[in-house]
Amino acid sequence: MSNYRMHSIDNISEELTSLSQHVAQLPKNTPFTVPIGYFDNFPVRLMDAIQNEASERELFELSPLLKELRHENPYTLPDGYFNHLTVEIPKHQAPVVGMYTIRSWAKYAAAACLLGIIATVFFVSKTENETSLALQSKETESLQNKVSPDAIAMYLEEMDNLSVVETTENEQVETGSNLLVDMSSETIEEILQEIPDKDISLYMDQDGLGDVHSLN
Amino acid sequence: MLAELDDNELVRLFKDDQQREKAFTSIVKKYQEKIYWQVRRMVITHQDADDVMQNIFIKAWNGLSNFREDAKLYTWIYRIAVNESLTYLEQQKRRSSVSFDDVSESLENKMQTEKDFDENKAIWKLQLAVQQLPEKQRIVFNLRYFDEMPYEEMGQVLDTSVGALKASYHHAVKKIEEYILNH
Repeated sequence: MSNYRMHSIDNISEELTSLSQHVAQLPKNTPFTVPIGYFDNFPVRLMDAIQNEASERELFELSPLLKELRHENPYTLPDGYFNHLTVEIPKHQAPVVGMYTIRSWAKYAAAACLLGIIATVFFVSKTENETSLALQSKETESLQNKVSPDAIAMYLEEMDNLSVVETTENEQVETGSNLLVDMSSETIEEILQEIPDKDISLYMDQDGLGDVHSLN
Repeated sequence: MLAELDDNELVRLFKDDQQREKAFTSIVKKYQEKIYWQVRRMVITHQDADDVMQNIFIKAWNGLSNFREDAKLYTWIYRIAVNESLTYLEQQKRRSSVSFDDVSESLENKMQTEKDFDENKAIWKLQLAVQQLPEKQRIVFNLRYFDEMPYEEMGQVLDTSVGALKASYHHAVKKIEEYILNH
């Protein structure tokens, strides 16, 4: 505290004593009380009030009419509405399930279903492939067990011969057709003369050529 | 950090948009208690004092940009506080259309509703005596007796000459003595 201030306070005290001994002896502390924490909270509350005041002033500058109307409420309530307002709570209430629980449950269930579907499709396709391969190999094995190696060898030989015969026949047909084309009419007549008429007639009847006159 | 700065530095910081809120909060923290008790002795109830406090510091926020640095910040805030307290009492008077005596009685009634009120205790008796004073004398007495404010500074706050303030204080002390001796 400065000397000036101390001197001033001394003067104030002396002045009071000279004016009234009774008043100078009275306690100077205050009998009033203030809510706990008031001075800690006041600066924060004040800054909020300053912000509100600024918005009120802004509205007043924009439109005094709207500022006046801001706090007016055109709606009315029945007399004593809030005094008689009661909320009836039903005795049996359905259990309240939190939104978060439902969402979480549904999320995990959906994920599990999706995984299940993928796993099932994968498993089924894998099993089908394995089953068909197994069946094929099983059938082959059972055939191999039933048929002797000699029979298989014979079968394969026959198949080879058959293919050779087919090839030869094809070649012969081609050769035969070429022979027929290249054959002269005289040669054909000679061949036909060697065949008995009876066989020729029978052949003609079979192929529906009965009305054709005998060549011989 | 800011709490250590003197008034002039806080006012300079307030004029910087980035620092405004912090500087003002420091000013409020520095003076709120002194101002509160000054107001409370005038309006008596905490609720009324709180309303007046808000008005005082909102006025300070709005006017601090134009504050002249050659003046003293705390006398300027005291001046706002005194004016706001008188305005508040004036509004109450107009609302209830009562005379000065009735206002004094009304303040006395309010005081009696205060927690721990005991009219036989000297501390309460002094407060009751102060409420009997005219408003201007009451302010002078409070500033001098409780806040120990020099007459020169009080002259700046109340815009009144030192001689007039001394006379006012002397009258106030005599009236209070009389009240205490008679009650």
